[in-house]
Amino acid sequence: MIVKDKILEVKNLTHYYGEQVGCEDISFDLYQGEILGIVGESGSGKSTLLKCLSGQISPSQGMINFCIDKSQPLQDLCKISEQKKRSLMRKEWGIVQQNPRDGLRLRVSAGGNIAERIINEEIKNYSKIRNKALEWMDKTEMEKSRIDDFPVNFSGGMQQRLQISKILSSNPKLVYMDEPTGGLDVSVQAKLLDTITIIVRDLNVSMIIVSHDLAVVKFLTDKLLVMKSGKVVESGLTDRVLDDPQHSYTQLLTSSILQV
Amino acid sequence: MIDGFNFAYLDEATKRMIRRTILKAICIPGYQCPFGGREMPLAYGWGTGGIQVTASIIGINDTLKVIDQGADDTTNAISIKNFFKKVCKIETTEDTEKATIIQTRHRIPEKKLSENQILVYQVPQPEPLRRLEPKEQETRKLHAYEEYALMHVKLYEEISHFGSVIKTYAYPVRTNKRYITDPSPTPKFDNPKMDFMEALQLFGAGRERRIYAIPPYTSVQSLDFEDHPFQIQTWDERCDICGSNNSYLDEIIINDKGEKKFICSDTNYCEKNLKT
Amino acid sequence: MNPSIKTTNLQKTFTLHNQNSTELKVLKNINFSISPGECVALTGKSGTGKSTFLRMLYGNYLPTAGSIEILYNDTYFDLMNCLEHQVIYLRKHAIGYVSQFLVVIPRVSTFDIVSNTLKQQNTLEDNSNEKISHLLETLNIKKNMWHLPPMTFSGGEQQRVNIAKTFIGNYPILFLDEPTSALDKENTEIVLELIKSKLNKNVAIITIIHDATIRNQICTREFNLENFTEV
Repeated sequence: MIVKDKILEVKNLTHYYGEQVGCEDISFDLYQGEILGIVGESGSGKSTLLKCLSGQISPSQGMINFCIDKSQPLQDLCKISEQKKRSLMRKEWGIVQQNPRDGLRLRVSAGGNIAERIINEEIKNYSKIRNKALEWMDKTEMEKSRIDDFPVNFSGGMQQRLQISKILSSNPKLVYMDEPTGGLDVSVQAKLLDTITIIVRDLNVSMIIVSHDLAVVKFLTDKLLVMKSGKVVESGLTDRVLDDPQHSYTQLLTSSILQV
Repeated sequence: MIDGFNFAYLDEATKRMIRRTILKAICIPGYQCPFGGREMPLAYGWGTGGIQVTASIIGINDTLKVIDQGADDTTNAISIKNFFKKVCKIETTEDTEKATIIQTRHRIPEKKLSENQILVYQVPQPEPLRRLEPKEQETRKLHAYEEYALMHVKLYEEISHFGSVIKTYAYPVRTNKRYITDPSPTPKFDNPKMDFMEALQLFGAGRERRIYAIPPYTSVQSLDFEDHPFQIQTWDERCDICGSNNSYLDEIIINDKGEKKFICSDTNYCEKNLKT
Repeated sequence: MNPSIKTTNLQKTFTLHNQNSTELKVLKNINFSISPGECVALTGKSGTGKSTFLRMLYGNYLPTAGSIEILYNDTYFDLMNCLEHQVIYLRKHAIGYVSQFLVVIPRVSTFDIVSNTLKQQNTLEDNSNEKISHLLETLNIKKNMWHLPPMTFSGGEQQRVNIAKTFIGNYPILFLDEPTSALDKENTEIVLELIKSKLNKNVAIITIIHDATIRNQICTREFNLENFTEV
């Protein structure tokens, strides 16, 4: 009765850097509207996993089955053409980079940055594109008057909001976020987290968030993968994993949080 | 013809290599084909690409016209013409109709070209996406996969900042409904002439070592938005010399008081217009 | 009537891997059930595992052994074999949990926090605003506070917002962890009345209330967890 569409199905995903293990034997499912967090210390393989999932590197082994069309069976991303993969990246996925400089064109205005993903949807009408860009800036709580300003002059928090506007504007099925609040100060971080939560709740988009900040993960995600040395050591509902950790590493992780 | 040089300066093997590249370029309209560009006896930026293309296709019976900014009598045009006179002893002309090969920088002649003519462009930067995407590897993928949203972002930016598309030269076009092409630094006034032109259009970029082509009767569409359609420049003035009101006009400051005149940029067109 | 929740041989042991793998055996062999319209109070000394038991039923703690079945729309869900999104669905639709402390998104207003429950349950209607206003008024939350986020409210006010947030919903099962601990006598009475009206609507309620006099006013049965602790 409680049935949701499966967006992503990862099976035995493994990636080696030469002899070195990047991530190993990772399997999980992601359903429509679900937000998955991946936590673990630096070097635990979080970013490698994210890069494999988002098509930035090809995994050594395993399958990443993605729902391209709801009426069709899931397709293995490792087997589709680069062209198809790039077209998915432009529309169906989005990657919110840790460093907004990697996700934005700094010499293109805020509006132009958002426009790039909208134009991909075959809209070739200037006013429509501009209105849609304004709409998205509003949703991510950016000042609309800054639509023609260049992101190079934006604060870190604003750049992050712009990245999110840009990506959500194409109405993606799946959004990847790599440390979305890394490098932001606490008050900016809190506001950004609010915005993400509110938007995501409305859009019913699926997300995978990589973070080493357990507070961020607790706030944003539904379920969690805990990684250590390239492997998933524990997974489950976020509040369950954090409140009742089973694995010794997770227990260490949760007991390391400083109480304010 | 001066001694010690092959006909048309380049050796036969090089000319053949360039002609092969040209054939490939014609087969894939608008696609930038790499070629082994040679050192020419003049600096990059002075038309080395165009000269190599011309040198590879020119034959003993050809008549060459060279224009720079539309004019036959500018330094660059005359130098190139003299160069070919020296290395091939061919006929040169200023008359657009009589030329079989027209090498140009900046303009397409006002007179409609015909099937037995070839227009050779000197191209400084063949890659329309270069200023938007600095990585060559990535621009090639963008062309290969027809990911051209970025080009419209450029137009979007201009409308947002200036109210309209202000790019007046090298205005990007889509060739044969496929490749986005840079029409070299020609003014957008000439873009409509490229669409279904009867003459073959060849583009040579010496420094960037690229050749691309638009075969005769090929669709060439200027990019635009539905609500900001492509428009060419217009002038309220007429040519001060011939009185033409439908050619591309250059603005000339005639004295220190800042008084100015408008005259046709295409000198041959202007002369003929004056005679009739 | 079919029980709303059934547990079979439920057991919970905490293993502290980083403390020499110390095992804390908290609860074992719990066979518990509750029917619609019942209000069961969990009792037992501090540390017997009342909260642990409640948290297991909510999917927040992982049972070491045994099973939990939750009834929703005439179907039993085996909580330990549910997918994550199914547990979340049950939490949105089947089980309302009034925790001891209010946990909310920082900048969302009190009114929106309450209306969000209806939104989650897809029951937001034209007259919902009246319904929410009425509940907030009943709980003595002043109208000029409705548009404010409750982060700065007093403990008692936050507790009442927490109650409003859950009670506005149409949950067939409610967990109430010390729902009146921060409330004065007058407000306690109001909350007890709300609980009674839920019971009249056949909601199954499990609660932890220390104060025996308050407990006795609403509970139909006590369930003493001391009987299930390991010695």
